[in-house]
Amino acid sequence: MKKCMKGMLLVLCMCLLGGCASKNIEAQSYAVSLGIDLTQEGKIEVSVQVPTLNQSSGGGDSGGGGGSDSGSQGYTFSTAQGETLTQALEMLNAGMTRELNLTGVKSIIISENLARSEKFRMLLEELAQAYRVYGAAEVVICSGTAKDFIAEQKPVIGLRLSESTTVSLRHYRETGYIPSAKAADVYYLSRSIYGDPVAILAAVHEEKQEEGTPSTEGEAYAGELNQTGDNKSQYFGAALFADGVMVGRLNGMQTQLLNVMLGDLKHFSWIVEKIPVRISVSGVPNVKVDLSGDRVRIDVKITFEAMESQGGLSTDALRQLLLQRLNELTAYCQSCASDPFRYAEYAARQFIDVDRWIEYDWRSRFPQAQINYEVEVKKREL
Amino acid sequence: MSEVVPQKTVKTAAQRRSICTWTGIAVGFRAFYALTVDGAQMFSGGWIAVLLSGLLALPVMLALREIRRAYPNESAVQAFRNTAGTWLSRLTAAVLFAVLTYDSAAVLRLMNSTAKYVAIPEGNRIVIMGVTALAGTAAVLLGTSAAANAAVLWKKLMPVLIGILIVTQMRHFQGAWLFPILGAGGKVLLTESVPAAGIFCFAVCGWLMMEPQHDQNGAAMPKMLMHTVLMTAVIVLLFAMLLPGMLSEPPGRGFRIGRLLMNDRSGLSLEMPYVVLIYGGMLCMLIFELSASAAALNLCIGRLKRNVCVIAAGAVSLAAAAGGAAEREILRSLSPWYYPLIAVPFVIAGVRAFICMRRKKS
Repeated sequence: MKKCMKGMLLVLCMCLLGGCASKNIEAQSYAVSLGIDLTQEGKIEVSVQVPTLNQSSGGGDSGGGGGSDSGSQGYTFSTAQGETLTQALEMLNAGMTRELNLTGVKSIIISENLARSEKFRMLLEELAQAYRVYGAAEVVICSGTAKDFIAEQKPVIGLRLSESTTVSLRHYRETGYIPSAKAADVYYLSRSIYGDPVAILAAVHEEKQEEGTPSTEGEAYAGELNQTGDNKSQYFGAALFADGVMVGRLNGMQTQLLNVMLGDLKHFSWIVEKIPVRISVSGVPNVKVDLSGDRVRIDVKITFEAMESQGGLSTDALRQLLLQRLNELTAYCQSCASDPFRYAEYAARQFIDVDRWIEYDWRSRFPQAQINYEVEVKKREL
Repeated sequence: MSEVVPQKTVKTAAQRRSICTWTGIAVGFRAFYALTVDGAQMFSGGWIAVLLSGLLALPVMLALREIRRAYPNESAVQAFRNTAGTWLSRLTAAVLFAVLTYDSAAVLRLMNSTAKYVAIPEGNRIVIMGVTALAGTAAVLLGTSAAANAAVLWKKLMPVLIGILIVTQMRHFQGAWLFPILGAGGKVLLTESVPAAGIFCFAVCGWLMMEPQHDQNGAAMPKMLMHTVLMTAVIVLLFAMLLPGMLSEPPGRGFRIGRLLMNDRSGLSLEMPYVVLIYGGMLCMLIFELSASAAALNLCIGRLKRNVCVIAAGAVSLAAAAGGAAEREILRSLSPWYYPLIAVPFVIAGVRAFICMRRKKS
């Protein structure tokens, strides 16, 4: 009898432990992209793109979603405004026919206008606290409005936008023209005791911008690339942050060098004296930070290997070019008081505890730091 | 020729192993949570706090060894009674009951926060904690040996789960985030190591479960605790390499649990090993603490039947958790008292046992 009672008690516990029964997939709206804008009245406007999962809607616009105002093929598009992100998301959720679920968001698009405003700090905080916003989503800063950018997004190749976004961002990252900018990392680094985060720069490509293009493609910013075709969303370059707010923009070439310095890029291609060159990074940059003087001194040694098929490349010319670009990039970041290279991590090693490190005030010292690059270029056969 | 080991010896060794493993897993997980979820921001120095807490717990472990050596043929409970005296042993049992019941309430709150984060944000906390407390109490009622044996199985599964997490997170580990080496500073590390030391001292409950044949030289529990401290320090160190130290962070357990569960860079599918690992560890902790607090109540009031003690421990724990007594801030103010409350009587008993041994020798 006792055993029977105990068994029944256990079975009862098992029945009660079914925690996820109330979450029916069919009853959720899984957003693929989350867009965030700052309106002229200073409000936060959120936009989401949600797959309709409706086969018949493949050929045309689809409605649905409480606050939906437009839609692209197979996706419904909804927006809502609020004083804060939390409030805007609440309003958005209230207007949708199903519960809004942000666990599958692949990219968080934020307008540059908002990223440069003081409201961005609070927004990041709210994003981190919002229930189950997917932290591995990439943070994208777009030149126009996030709403327009999202409206323009479509799977040019393939059927699913979620997959298309993931694959295309991975591809751009492999070329080095965009940084890795997971939402969690952007948040953590913006609050961390070390360097500053970077985010992906993007824009909707407009035909009128094709005139007066930069001298090389790499020096372009998102939206300025000479491209034709159905894909209007351009991801190119990086947004610089300092003290939790956007302070500058890096072009594609600068982003490549930043990725090299961060150890995220091992191979990339440049055109040097009209010769296409494949450049590989040999090992990792050797960084030494000297804090003994009044001015911080940072010595960075980096070795590249150049491969080209035409045979006319001067390694010295490439070395000079790399050095020049690195110095320009560093000077620009210093002028923005932003340390995306995370040299702070090397400097922090010389302190015994965080209090002393914070007291040292790296943020105010970095812009005046003397940074010396030693670049070595070796030629390698293809 | 293979040597035939007597069946009784094998059984004794298995019992000792299961008690030690259960205790080790329970206190190791609890110390990890105390430091990473409920503790102050320690930046990169959390692992040093674990080692410090291990050092603080060392005198208690040495005391246990002395008590065992003084009375090698008595059960651990009897050996403690002989050295500490009836009143001190009763008082210690009452203190253990209070501390462990309160801490199991904190575990219930942690499990509630985790369940809400993972699956049921709108779930009723009384229901979630009630079901969990019921499951824990039922497990203790069914017998502690089953729980201890489950811990042995869990010990085999745990490295697999931790291995999966390490391999999948490998590229996110940043050695640079382990600096400045002392993190929040020596004072904070020392302050935070005291509650963790108190939790490591919960190992005395595992020791009290031992019979003379389990551990005649008194070395099993100190050895287990040393391993647990080292393992906990390594896990805290790995965790520190995953996330940079932050100057400010949102208040409450939710954010810390979120960081712990998926550190926000993992795909959702990776949450599964995290959830299994964390929930398994928490259940181990809860059952250990409820079982130990019931045993302590039984020692304190010998007339009470074991089942009554178990139900009382579960009910008090649930009441404390539901009443909000184990909220993060309250827990943070009370948990530093765990260490002196547990360590002092055992160290006194240990010193008495040492003096007694010296007298016998002379």
